[in-house]
Amino acid sequence: MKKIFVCGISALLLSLQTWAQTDYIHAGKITFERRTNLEKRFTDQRMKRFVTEENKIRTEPFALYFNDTASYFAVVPSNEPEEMAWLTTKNAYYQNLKDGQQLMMLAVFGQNVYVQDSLPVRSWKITDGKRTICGYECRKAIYQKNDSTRLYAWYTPMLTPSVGPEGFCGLPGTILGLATEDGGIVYFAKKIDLTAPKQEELLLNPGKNKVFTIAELRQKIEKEYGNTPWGKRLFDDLFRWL
Amino acid sequence: MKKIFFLSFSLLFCSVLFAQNMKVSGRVVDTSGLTPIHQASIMAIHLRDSVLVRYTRSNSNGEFSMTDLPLDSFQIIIEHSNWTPRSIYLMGSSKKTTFELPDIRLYPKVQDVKDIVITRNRNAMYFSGDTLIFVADSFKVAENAVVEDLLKKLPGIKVEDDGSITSQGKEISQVLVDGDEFFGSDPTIATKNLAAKGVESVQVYEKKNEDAAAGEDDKIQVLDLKLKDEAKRGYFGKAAVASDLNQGAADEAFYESELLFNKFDKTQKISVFMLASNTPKSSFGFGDMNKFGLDNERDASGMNFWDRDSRGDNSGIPQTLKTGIYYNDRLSEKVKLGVNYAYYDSRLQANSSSQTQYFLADSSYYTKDSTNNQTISSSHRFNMNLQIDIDSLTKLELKPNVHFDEGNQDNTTVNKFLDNSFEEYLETNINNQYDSKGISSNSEAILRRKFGKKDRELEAKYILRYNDNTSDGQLVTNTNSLTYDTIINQRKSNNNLSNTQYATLTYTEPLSKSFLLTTEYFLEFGNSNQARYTFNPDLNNQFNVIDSLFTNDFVNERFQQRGTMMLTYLYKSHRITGGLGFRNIQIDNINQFTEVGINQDISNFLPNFAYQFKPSMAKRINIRYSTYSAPPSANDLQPVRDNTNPNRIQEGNPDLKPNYQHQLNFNANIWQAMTGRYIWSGGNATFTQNAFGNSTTFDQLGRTISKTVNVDGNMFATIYAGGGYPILNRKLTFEPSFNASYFRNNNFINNQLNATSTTTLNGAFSIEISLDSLELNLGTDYTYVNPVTTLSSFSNQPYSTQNYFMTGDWRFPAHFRFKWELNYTMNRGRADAFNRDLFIVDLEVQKAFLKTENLILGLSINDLLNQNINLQRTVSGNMITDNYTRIITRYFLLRLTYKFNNNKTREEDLRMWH
Repeated sequence: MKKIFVCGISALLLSLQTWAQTDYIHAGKITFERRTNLEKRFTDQRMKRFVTEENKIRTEPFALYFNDTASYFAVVPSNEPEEMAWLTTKNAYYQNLKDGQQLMMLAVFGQNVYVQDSLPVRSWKITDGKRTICGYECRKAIYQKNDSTRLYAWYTPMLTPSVGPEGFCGLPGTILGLATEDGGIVYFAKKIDLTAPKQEELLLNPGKNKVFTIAELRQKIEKEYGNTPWGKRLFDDLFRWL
Repeated sequence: MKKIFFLSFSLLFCSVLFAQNMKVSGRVVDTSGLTPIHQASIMAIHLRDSVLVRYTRSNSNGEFSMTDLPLDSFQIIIEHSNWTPRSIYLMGSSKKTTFELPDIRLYPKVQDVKDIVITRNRNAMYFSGDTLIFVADSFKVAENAVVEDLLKKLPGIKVEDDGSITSQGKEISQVLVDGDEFFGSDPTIATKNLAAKGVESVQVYEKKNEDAAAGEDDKIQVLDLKLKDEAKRGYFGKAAVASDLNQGAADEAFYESELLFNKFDKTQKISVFMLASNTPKSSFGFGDMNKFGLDNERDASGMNFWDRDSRGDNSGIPQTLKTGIYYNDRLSEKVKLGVNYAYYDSRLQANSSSQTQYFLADSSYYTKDSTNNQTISSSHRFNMNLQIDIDSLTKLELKPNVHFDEGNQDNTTVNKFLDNSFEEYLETNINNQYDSKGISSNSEAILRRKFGKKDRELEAKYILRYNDNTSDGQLVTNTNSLTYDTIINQRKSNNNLSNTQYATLTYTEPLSKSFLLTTEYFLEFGNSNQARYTFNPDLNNQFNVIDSLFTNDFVNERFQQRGTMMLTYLYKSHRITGGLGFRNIQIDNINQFTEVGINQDISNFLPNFAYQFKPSMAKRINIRYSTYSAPPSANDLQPVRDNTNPNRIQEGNPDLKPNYQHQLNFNANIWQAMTGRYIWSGGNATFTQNAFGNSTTFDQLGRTISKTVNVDGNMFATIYAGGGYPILNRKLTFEPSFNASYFRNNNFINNQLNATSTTTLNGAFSIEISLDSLELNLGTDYTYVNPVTTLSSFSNQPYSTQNYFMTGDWRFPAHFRFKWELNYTMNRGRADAFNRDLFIVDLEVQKAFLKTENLILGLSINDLLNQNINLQRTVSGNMITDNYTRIITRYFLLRLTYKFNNNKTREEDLRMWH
């Protein structure tokens, strides 16, 4: 009887402890650091001129606000000026998980272009690879974008909303790490803040700007810039994440 | 009825499809089997390709269900952070579409350890430390195999269809060639393009991941291809010859020839070049200079950055020969060496005539000049560039150079003076011949040091400018006038020696994240010696009697120091810099003949300010104010007369002070990427105190003596703006632009102040049409110039130029190409003979041969209508000059170009950004 009691107590304690640990997270703010290896990003010799040993690794902070129904991802504004800020692109994403819609603000040579479309559907390969990011165990998934581009995502089921950096979603949890295969661009969660975001933090307002669909923008860029090499670069850059 | 049938059919079809879907449901419980596990993640993954098809989570009862799964084999992964994940395999079939999984128990976490076993050590592969090495020749591959084919043969290495590689089951993240990335990060570029037989060994090792995020200890697996030495060798080149097939006399036949060749061997690069022509083409095209690395040939005269064909010299009839060699090598990881030598031989035959109208306070007269100038110059140029990375923060760069120049000039001028009614009253014939020889150097040494602290920087720079030039010649002039005749026959021997050293030390210290303090110290030490000897003939007609009026030996010594402090404030996209410099310059001018010296000791403050606002890459605003002070040139100081033209004597002025300039400029640019519209605009203004102006004295005959004096109140201001407005998907772009400028120049005429203000207005409009095979640019350009002088209102005559142009490039099938350039210019408001309309037509047709299109035959016609002349009007002080230079007019060229490389592939020309 005593034994059973002890067992029962320990089982209770164990389950309590389990409950405490399985406190799944539904809302919060994740601060990402993006590391871009400019040397890898630019294959064009003339762009490589701007890349030196000192500036080849560029880090920029991004924030992802999320709850069960929506997410907002954007660069963390800085007061410090950035040398040659144009070497990297800084997009913003608002995703409505209920409607399956997203509104994106894409930086096209310094001009902000707004794009509204449904949430992307990607085909993820699930692997057994695991790593811990910010204390959460993540599983590695692979997205084969096309013949030459593969992306790695580390997501944790502990954060339940299916969201991630740069509009990436569709995994059974939140993406805490996202990288191109060559490591040229890496998003990595640095800090997870469990305060639920306010409604105004989950908003992207296109103002009076024209709002494209992805297909419209793709067509426009292809048509107008498609036949120049730098247009090709712009195109690749713009649709890198889409 | 049909519709209903169709509807029901599709419904039926749907339900059939539906029946082919799978449903999986179950319940997740803990080890005891009693407690349900809430929020476990359940994934359905395609067994054949690991693609995630559906996922869900267990509810508070531990239950989950997934419907609509396509009929297939699945791995179901159930995981929860506190439990070991479990996999369940389901083989769906049309007979079994519903899976109800019994209670799925999860077990507490255990650490799982994976071992990797590597088979090792045969002769063909072995370990060296942690590196696995395959000897490439031990594995047989087909003759034309690429590296990928070789890798497939290596034991333990697997190449997937997409080109990704695993070694012993672990993924290869990087493919290097001799330790470096091969044309970017995509590993397949190396594996699919390099020939397998060029590989000596394949090495696999682990490397620290430079891109690993902080806190990540990831090592990545690297595959390093070590190439055989002969695989790193290659060459490319271009040869072109053009001739008009001798349609004129033999010595008038036009030709152009170009030879460019580059050979690379491991880290070594050698380029040789040669250009010979007697057309205006006097330098290589911009693309070729870049491609062949001819960095020191860029400053060649007549070189226009944007001109693809580099038209070059238009000041007469040229003849050019340029040849040389470049050698570049990376001597070690830290040392880069570049050496080059060039030989130039250029000849120019320039015939020009000009007519000048002079306005004096109470009269006016004309001069007519016709000049025949023949210049031959040759130059040997040696340049070196040595870059040494002393350590990771310190860089040293040494750029010594030396030029040896030789030249010969033969100049004949007829100088006529005519009065108001065009009656000639004075004529001088001048023949000036001389040989010159010189050595010059412009060498630099720069040391840059960075520190651990961001933005802290130290730079030390030293520049040596040395120039030693001697000339020896004969001046013969013959003057006939109503009142007197004179003959001058003199030997002139000059020696100019100058030696200036500059040193700059700059230190930047970041005071905080947004403040930078820059301190700079500048030192200049220079001396120049200008000896001019003039000899008259003695009784034996030997030129050894010194003419003291035109002989002098003059020394100028300069010592300048400048200290500058600048504070930069950075905030978001704003950058503000303000600074103040203090400058002291001491100048000693010594006349060695009279031993009279003039000393100057001048101190100035030199403030500067700059503001930049760059809210995005597509918008920027710059405002800058700066002050400068330039010392006078030794030539302007030399207190001896120059009687090269006895009617226009030049005299030096040793009292000249350095000038002081305020410069203000601003610009604003906007570009909209989505519409392609852009606007550029800006302006600048310069005010000069103690500017170097001219003081000219006229005698009764109109002959002049002039010297450089300091004048105040000179200014220049301009504003400009333009833009591009594309329509029809950028196939058509309208490009309007305008600029306006105001120029005020003060000088003295017969000791009276004369201010010339010139207002220029220019407007241009062009349309650019860009289609797949056709590029067309047409437009017009109008310039109106209104000069006003205070001393005489006669020279206040506005003049204008209107220009219409059309250029095009049309590509036809079968590798035909047609290019044209039409230019129609109307000159108005000038002297009668100079109000000419010109219509210049250049045409070229090309055809490319061979599969690679590397052989190109072209026929070009320059100036089809034979109208090309060089016409210029200048208004300055109290005179208006219209100048005409004879330049090359119509010529035909048949051109054969061959481009080649060691891979026998199409050799692309390096293009500009677009």
